Amino acid sequence: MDEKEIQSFLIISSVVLFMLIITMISLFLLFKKRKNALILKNEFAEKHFEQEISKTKIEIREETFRNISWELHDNIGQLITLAKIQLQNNSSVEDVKETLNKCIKELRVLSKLINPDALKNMSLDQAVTQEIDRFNRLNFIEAKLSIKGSQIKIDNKIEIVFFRILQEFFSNTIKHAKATHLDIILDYQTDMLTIIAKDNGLGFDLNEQNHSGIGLSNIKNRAKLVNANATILSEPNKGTELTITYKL
Amino acid sequence: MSDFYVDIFSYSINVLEFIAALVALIHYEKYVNSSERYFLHFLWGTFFVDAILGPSSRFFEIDSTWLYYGYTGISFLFYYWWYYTILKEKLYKKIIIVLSIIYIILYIINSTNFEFHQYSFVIGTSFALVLAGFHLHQLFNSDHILKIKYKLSFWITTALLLFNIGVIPTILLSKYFNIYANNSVFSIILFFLNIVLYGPYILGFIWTKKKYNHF
Repeated sequence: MDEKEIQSFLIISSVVLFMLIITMISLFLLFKKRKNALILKNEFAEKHFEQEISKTKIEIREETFRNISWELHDNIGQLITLAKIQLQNNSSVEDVKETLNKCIKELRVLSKLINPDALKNMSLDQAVTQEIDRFNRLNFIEAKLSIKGSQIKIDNKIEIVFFRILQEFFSNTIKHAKATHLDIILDYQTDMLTIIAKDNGLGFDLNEQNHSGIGLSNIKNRAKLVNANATILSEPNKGTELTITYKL
Repeated sequence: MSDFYVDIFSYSINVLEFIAALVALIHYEKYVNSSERYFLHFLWGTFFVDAILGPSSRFFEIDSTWLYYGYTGISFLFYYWWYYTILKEKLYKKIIIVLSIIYIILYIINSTNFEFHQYSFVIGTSFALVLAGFHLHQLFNSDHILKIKYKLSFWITTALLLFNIGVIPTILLSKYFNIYANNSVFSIILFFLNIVLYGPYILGFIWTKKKYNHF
């Protein structure tokens, strides 16, 4: 190489090197920045998820308290009042005994229901079954649960969310829908869990502002939180149907 | 002396091409389900053209200008097609189609004059740079960024980006300094740029993992 060539080599190679270094540094900085941002975002999403799960747990507990208070007042309280009246009216000892026995039996069932250890280890199937037994026992509504396919274990946090959605649906059915029948289907397919809850109550117009408000969007958001999809179908006087689909 | 250097560096580039193609072949299983799999054929094609067809045309004293010009055109269109398959945004895909058409038109126009051949290369390189930028933008906005070293397309894009950014000033400046191919200055820089190109390719093929190569 002569002197002129060496000179041009130095100039070209330094320009090329400079360009390469600038590119690499900016690539690295950009990469680092994006990565940190993504990590922060993921952390935030995880936190949000945990918060939502805790909130759901608290809501389930509140609903349980409400049910206990209701049951104590309307069921066990009534039986004790009946026993008291029977005593005041000098009814036979056998009658009073029978009433008190019934009362003790109800009390045992209730105590078993709200044992926190039992609640913690319950699967979705068991929790829904228990809820439905309660409805039937208290004659709120005629409820039926059918489970199709073999049960597949899903994450406890996801079960909690599904249970809360169903609980909200049930409480709406009992409080507002004036329904007589409630059908629940848990359908386990190989790659999909479909939960269908259907009542034969008053139903409502989905397009009406009042009804498409907080309750429905709450259910949908909850489902979205665990990557499930919730749809609600309802027509006035034809009942309401809730479908949750979840990819296993 | 000068010719000796030119030969050494040009053979070294062939060796690099061969290593890259070989590593791609060994790790083919890992990226067989993505459109990166065509890089295997592309790398062997490059080696075939550069190490076998090129020297034999020189040996038989056939003008190899058209061989390399043809190879340049095909390789850029291959890159564009590859980016078309991996970019998701519709706007990007449309831009690729437009750039490809512009490139083909300019390529044909430039082919009429030997002097303009290198402009086809510079234009092709510039367009490839734009697409590499699109792909980096897509990668940096996806979850892949957390495990980016396992993603083969990231390494290919990095290689193309660095090579193309280096090659544009090389070509433009060598014209300015009156240095042409088969000159030792040009050979050294070209060899260095080929390390920049095939180094990330080889790293990418070795590091990539199968589950990261489904687009």
